[in-house]
Amino acid sequence: MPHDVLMPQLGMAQDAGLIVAWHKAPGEAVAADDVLMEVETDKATMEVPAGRDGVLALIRAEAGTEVPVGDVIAIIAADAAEAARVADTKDGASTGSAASVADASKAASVAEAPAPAEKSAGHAPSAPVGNGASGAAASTGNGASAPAVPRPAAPAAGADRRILASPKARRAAAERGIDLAALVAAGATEPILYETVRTAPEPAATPAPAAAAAVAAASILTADAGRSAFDALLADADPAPPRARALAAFAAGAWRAATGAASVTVGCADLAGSPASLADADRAGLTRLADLADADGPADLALVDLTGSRLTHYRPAAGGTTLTITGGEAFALSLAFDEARLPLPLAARFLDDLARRLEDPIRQLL
Amino acid sequence: MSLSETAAPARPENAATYLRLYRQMAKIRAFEDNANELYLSGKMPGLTHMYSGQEAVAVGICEALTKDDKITSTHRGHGHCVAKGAEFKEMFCELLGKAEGYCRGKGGSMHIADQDNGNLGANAIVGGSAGIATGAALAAKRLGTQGVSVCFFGDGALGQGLLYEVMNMAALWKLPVIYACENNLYGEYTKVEEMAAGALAARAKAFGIETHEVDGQDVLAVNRLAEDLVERARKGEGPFFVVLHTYRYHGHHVGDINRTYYRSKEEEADWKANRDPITNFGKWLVAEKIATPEELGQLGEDVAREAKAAVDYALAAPYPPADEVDMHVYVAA
Amino acid sequence: MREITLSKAVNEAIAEEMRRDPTIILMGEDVAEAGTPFKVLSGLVEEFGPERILDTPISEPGFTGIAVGAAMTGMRPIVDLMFGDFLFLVMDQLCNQAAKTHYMSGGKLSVPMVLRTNMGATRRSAAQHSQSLHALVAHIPGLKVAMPSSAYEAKGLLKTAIRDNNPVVIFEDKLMYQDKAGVPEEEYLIPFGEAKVLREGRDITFVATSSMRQVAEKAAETLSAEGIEAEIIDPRTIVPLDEATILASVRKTGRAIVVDEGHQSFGVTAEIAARIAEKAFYYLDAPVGRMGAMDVPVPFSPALEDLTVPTPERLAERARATLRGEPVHAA
Repeated sequence: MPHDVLMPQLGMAQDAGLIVAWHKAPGEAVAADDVLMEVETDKATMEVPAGRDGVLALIRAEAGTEVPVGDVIAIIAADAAEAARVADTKDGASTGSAASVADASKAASVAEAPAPAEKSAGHAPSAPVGNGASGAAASTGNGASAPAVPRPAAPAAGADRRILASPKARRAAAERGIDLAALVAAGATEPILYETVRTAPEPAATPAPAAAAAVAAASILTADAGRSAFDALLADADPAPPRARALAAFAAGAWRAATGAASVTVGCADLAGSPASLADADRAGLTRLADLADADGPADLALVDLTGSRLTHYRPAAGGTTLTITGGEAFALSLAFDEARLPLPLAARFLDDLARRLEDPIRQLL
Repeated sequence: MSLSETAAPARPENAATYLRLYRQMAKIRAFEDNANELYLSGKMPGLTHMYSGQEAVAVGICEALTKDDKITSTHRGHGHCVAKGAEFKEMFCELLGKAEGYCRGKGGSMHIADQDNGNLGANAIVGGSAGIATGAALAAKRLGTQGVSVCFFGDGALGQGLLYEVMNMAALWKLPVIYACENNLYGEYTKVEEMAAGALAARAKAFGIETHEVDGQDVLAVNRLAEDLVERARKGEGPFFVVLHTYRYHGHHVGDINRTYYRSKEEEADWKANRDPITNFGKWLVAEKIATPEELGQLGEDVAREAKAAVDYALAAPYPPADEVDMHVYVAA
Repeated sequence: MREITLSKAVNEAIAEEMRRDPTIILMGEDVAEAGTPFKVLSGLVEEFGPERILDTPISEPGFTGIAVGAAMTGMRPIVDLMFGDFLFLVMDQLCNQAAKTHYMSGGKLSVPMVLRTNMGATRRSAAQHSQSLHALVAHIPGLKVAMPSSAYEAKGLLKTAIRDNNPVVIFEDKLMYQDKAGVPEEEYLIPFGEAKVLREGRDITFVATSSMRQVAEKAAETLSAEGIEAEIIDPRTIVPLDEATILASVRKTGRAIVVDEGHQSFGVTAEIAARIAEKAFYYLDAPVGRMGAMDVPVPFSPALEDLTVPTPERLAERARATLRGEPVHAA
């Protein structure tokens, strides 16, 4: 899967970086430790490594340009074929697949510094600005959507673009501790109007991250999973469960399998409904998921269902272990986690198992 | 032309009136001398226009009015204000923007009004008060007060359309108003003949208004005419239009000192030496044995002392408090 | 309640006040036997005589100035300015003299006069007889400005204006002279600075002056059928302005469109919108909308003139867009 290279934050008070030079040309193979480019900040000029093996598919910001921190400046593909495909994409749409190491550490470093709420966007959709970020959002319409609200914890760095919200919406959000950036990340259309904030769930009632300790430095694992079998399963169920809940049930199954936990609580949210926190959803049975009562205890995992929208990427500003599912023809799974709490082998086992279960639901049902 | 040649013999029974005319003119001169000095010494803000030289006009007319009769005045209005009965103290306070001024410091030199004495206010728009004076005459007629109003204006105001509109209506409605045109020969920095075509008085005659011309440096002549016209106006014979030939000693405003481009120093010196209304009237008073030179000298000193005391008082007086800034925008309910 | 025309309401207000107070006189062009071109004053000269209903020459600055002087000395003149467009002629007397006299005299002199005039386009009267110039005088401290929106308001506001001790300019929409409204037989006054909530609604506030009330009411009706409930506020006087009522409404609805027939730029819509933005900012869910007359001289051709003023259709569409959250850039 192609990988977005973001303009890294290299200093505490850095808003942007000047690309001095690219050390690789599109089509050229890169290793993770290769110097990819030189970036000049107010402090110094630094050589930035590629961060991943692959083939440089696309450069989106030429040398000499200054780019806001967090913006996509290049795409690294897995191999030459993928690089060619990416390069052929007319608008050079970003991959939405993962965040870079630099990006993750950036989130961590800024998490300590207070920032205005509206600036706390975890640089949600990685769609390029010129690509119409808001246009890509779910067509929920103002006032109609009640997007999930991941906990507005410590603000993270991100685009310095101001989120458009009416004064009334802004005031209501401030009063209720709702993070406008999170609303946007969850698909709310800008400008955010009061109705959107009014119908947004209480931040305290949001899933998993509420209880889980904040992730100090998020690692990201991604996986793809064909979805036709899962969709067919849902279509056959009567009554059909909300998709987010069904996904949560699958995630609970995979979590239990990977960690051997006796009970699993999964917070789930999507762009339309209220968030919920489900205990042992994998054992409830698909048709009863809709009625499953909210769990009391802390969630092991927060699941954000962005399928059904055109959103391609979501990186939580901070929070606990967060699984984001986006997708068009296939599900794209993205797990943000703290390796200190969830070791990589465990996380990998979980995500890999979940992808398999989604592609082949029999694994879940057994 | 000197005053003693044109004046009728003095009547001893009018001595008090004569001395009052003299004293009022001396007060105006003293007021202006002090105002001029205040301004030049940087103690007075804004801009101001001296009435010195024209004293016989304001005094000759206002002495023919009662306290309840109304006048409207001009940017060169200190003389009218004093002549209509105002006190030095409140006037200097107003000039300095102090709270005890006639207008609580909100009007200043160009807007002094003294309602209690019938002065509806100086006006900084040339000709701007013509409607007000005419309206006051309309009110007097409607209310049956027998009041008369006098509209003071300079030759410069003859260029303003408003004057002709209201004179037309005053004539149509026979209003008790006297239009007193003080022709001091210059509208701002320009000779009157360069700005006014035809005869000045002919303008009013066109409306069928009775017009008069008088030597504005002869306080007795002005007063005699004013007494007559005011009395006739009270009987409903108005309106009237009077051209008073006079001269302003100072420039258009204090600070207009380099003015030879519009008038000569010789001309100024001539008016001061030979046509001064106070000097000439003083000579006549002495010649007619109404007063001795010593008595007039003493009167002048008294007036100067009074003016000095008022200046000192005003300089020390407080400014209006800040909370007055938005007071009097509207009449309190 | 009986219904009478706005014209009749004005006539009644003047007659009642003149009976009550002998210091009231009325002056203007063709106000006596002719009763003005709009026949608003018919019959007054028969009752009060030519001494109190004064036909003047065509000298707007002159008779306005005379009214100022008369007001300063014991009378309560009502000046009839045949067309609001003639305000430009009387600006010195109204704004330099009447408006400032009380202040410049430190409160000693006052000018209790009323200047009655009119406003409003679409009478095919072209650029010099169609303007709505109330913002010009509302800009001048010392003047009060009333804008009746119906016969009821016209009578109550005019009677209050006549009794006010300040110079008051009252604008009647000349298209409304024949419009009828319920007007009580018994005497009433409408206090200045008290807006009226003409219609309650939860979704959007229309602040509408003078005849724009009708525009707002028609738009509100249309919107109501679509499930959008507009609240309509008629300020009734723009100086003084009842800010509290407007702000309370906007705090409730979160959205506002100000509709006024003056030119949109630098006018009443701008002033009211600015106050809403300043004082109810954190309650706003949409930019404050403004609809005024186009910034063009009023054209003669009916096909063009009708384009220059706010209409119910345009207001309704603007309201829908506001509720949709669409950014609004121009009227």
